[in-house]
Amino acid sequence: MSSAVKENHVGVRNRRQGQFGQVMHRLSKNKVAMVGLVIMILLILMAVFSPWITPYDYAKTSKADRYAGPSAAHPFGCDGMGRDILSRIMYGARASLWLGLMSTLVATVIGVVIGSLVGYYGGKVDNIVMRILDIIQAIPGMLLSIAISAALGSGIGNTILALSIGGIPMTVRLLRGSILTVRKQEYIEAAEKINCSRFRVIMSHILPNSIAPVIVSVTMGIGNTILQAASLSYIGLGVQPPTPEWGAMLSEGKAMITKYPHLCIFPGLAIMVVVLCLNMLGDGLRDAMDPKLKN
Amino acid sequence: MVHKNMFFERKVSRMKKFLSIVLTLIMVLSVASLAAADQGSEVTVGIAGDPGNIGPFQGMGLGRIGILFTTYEMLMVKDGDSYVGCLAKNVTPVDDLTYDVEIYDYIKDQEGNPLTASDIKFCYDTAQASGNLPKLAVVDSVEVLSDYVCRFTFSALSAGQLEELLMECPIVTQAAYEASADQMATDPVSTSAFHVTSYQTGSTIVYENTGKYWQTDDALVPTTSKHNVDKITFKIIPDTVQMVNALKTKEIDISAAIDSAYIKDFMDVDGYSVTQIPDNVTKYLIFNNNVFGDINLRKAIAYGIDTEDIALFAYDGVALLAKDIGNSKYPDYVAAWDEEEYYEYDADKAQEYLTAAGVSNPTYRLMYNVSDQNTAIVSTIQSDLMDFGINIELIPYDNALFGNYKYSENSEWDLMLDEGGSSGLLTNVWKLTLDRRDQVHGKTVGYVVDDQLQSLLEAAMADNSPENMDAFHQYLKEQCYEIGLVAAVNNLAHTTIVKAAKTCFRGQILPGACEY
Amino acid sequence: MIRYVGKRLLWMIPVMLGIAILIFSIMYICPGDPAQSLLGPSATAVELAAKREELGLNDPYIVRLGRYLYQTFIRFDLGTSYKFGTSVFSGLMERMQYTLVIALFCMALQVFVGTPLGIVAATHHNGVADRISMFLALVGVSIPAFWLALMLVLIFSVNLGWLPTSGVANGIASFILPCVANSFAGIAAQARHTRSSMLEVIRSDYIITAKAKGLSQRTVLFKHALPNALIPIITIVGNGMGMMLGGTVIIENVFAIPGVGRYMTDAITARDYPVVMGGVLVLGLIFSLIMLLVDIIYAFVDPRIKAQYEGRKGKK
Repeated sequence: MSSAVKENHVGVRNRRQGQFGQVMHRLSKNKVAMVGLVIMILLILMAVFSPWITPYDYAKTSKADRYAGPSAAHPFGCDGMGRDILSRIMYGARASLWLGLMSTLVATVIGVVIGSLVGYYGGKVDNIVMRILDIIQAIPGMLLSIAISAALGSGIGNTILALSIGGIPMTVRLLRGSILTVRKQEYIEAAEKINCSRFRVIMSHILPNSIAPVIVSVTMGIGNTILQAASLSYIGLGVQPPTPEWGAMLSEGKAMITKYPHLCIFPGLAIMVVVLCLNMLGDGLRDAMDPKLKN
Repeated sequence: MVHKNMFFERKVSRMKKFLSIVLTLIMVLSVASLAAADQGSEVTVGIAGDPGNIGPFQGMGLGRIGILFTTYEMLMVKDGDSYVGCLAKNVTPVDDLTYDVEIYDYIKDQEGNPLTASDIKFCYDTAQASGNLPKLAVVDSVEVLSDYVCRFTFSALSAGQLEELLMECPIVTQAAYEASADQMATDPVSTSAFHVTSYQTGSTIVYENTGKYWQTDDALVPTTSKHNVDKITFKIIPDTVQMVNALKTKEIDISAAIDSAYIKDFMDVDGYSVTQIPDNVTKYLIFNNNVFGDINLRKAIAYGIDTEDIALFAYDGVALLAKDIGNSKYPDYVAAWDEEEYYEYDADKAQEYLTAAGVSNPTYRLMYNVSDQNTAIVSTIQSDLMDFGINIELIPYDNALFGNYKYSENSEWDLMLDEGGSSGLLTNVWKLTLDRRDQVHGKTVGYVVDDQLQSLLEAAMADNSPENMDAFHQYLKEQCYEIGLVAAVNNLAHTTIVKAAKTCFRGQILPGACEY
Repeated sequence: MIRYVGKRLLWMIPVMLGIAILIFSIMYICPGDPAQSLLGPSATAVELAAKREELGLNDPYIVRLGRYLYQTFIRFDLGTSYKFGTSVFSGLMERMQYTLVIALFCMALQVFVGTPLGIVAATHHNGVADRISMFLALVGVSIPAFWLALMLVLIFSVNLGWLPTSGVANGIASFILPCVANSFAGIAAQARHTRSSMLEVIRSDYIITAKAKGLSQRTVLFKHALPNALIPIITIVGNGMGMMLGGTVIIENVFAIPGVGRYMTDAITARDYPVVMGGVLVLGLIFSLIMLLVDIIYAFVDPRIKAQYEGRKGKK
């Protein structure tokens, strides 16, 4: 354990530079992570500028182009109403990325806060909070979403809420599990003994050493979140047609999957690219935050 | 062959011309290849809806109709387009509201219990008490006159309603019903030729021919009670693509739930044939009168929607364009309506009416019940109306939520896409949304209070005469409170084990009646 | 430890009560009408209102809640399904058998395929094996389950004719495709998590020490590294197991398997209140038990955690 304590000293020494700055610096040296980051930024730019750069109007139907396969005019083909799939994917990135990233972010932040508190304090707090989570987790997500939509109405904020609630318990459980293994380690006790504030102990000593599973699970879960957004449209939440959204495009194409596979393949690929980039980024972030890999 | 082209003609407009012919035609599109089917004693039917409780006195939830006539018999049944006696031998009117029903004196259920008049009374009383068959509320009493005759007294009866009421309630013997531990929810004993031998809820229901069907005179057996096969297995397959796959691998022999886009995979293909039957369930659009108080505005929307687009985008072109909120599958539908003008797409008229209404760039909320088809329909409406600067904001709900908001006093919607079908008369469909007496809030579903509409409807419901039907139809069309859009065509695809597919009036397969 | 477990079991009473009250309240505020799906689309508004009255849905909240709690916790009766007309408990148990088969099989695949994949990836960090297995894992989590399921059916059922397309009538053969399709994402997640926590451990001092002592790669890996990397893996497996016993709606729908997931979702859609509330309670109980098991396993895997469970008691 001596090395952990030593690294910890390094962390204290470099405090002025800021832990965040250090992590970013190390992250910037990771080529794979940077590729992921660049593609993500490009995707976000595409989403932002999509109203001006899509080759066709995403809502324009065309009887002649129904189910048209990929061609020079329509690189990703057209859907059942003859709408250009490439344009719909580009425009759909707005809703899908926004909903996917925001709800994941919300779930993670709330999950990490709760998780570190229960993991660190343990005992009664742990027991009560975890039992409440047991109760929440027993309720099917679909029902929770209907209740949210009924009580709070539709809208993008409520959609994000409905999507993120499902992700919180898992984050809490993962973080709590790893904190349980770290919190009795010598360097934590040392930090506590030298009167570090609780906040500091959690932020600079416990979290960096236990966050890895959360990063993995968050970056893996993003695809699922984007898919889930489609199921919310049934209860009045989510994004409504004609505004495209990747999850909804996939489920619309589902019935035609064996006849016109391009309806599913391209939105599926779009989701895959996002998941891939975030994982590359997440891996890099984890390495950058790992104090043991500092030098 | 003309008719085959008809259905698959991309230029749907041609459909209109043939509408009336097609509606009454049942088409077998490919001649079965003559490969002798082995035995033909067993058939597997793919159904999409889960029947749930298969007990006799259940509501007509989705999925139930698929197994209803295989499981039970009623006093009368609808055979093709007309009603015939099944258990009932004679129905004699005593006065306008009283009828004597005589049943055959040799009916036995699957366990050998004889069926008598007291069982009929028991069934109607129990069904009424269950509250699941609310149409029976007009049955005042069922009296046992003799072993095989009961007297039905009704509190009110409109034209054609008697037959519907005699079909509404499945009949079982009291002895068998009371012997069942779960009120026949999983193991019914009926008078049908088929007995349930295994029911795995959510998955399969197996029926076997008892070989002891009570009606020995074949001439008296209605189509719904025919029993040309020894074993019937219903497989519940909720996924559209999997239904297609199951038929391709011949795990099922027949299905009425093949998506229209896939139906061509079974047409003119060796080993399969396809039968197409128009459905009476019609999609229609309701205007919220609080928002669409101006008739010009309603007509602007009506002319701005291209039903041919809807047929193409939502049904792959295999659909019938509506001229009312029903079609000629109903006996009281007036055939002449098919020749009349309805709200066929007309951009100029739509623009004219919109200008007359004096609104520009309005936004309306369109509420609908989510399904693949409905999503395509509303997207088409949205896209059509966009051309006139009318924005449509969609409010999709699942079945339970839709049902909840549909009849609610406070409207969250400006336009509603709904659908209606009936086992009986077209007036039943009209009544669902247009009869103020049926609404808790005392207005029509579209919040219309129009005494003329109401009195015309009541006149039409009283006798269903062509004159009264036409009067209401014309008034509704003129006022444009609701407009019919399209009716689906049921696609039946089957392997050549099935020589000829037979269906009930709702387009559901009657596996016992099919020819093998 | 026994006291800890005992205490946790006692805690289940308020948890169950909490679940019951919460689910009841949610169903109460959720709009939607069971009468509609019971009577079908041809029922009029007035007829629907009468049915609602009959079902007791118009009674005040507190009356209905009281009735429900009494029936559930005093008479231990989960009620009768509106839709199926049979007991909710027996309905759940009947469907649980299929869900259980799928859940266990998938978990086995996830653990026995995913974990080794993750270990290989971690020990060959940034090597070819790592890249390949991680790419597979990423593909695994990004492919929607229905897509994979339908593709498998197309290949193995429609084209090759080896396996049935759907249903549960063919014994084990019926479950092969659903399990494979369902476990893909789980395997991927398992591999990622294993790799990540193995990497963390492999870099730590005691592993370096162990290696320096000249212990074999195998011994270091399985005696020293793996046990210390287990915590997140256990969390994932426990959570996954809990979720899967709740049924996997997508897979059950595609393969027409009458499992718990479809039972519950259909019930939610139809507002079959007894099934939803009874199902949530039973699944909640199972879930809580699994979470307890996870906490116990934590204690066995990591003595420090055990000390925390027991230490608390000592201090207070």
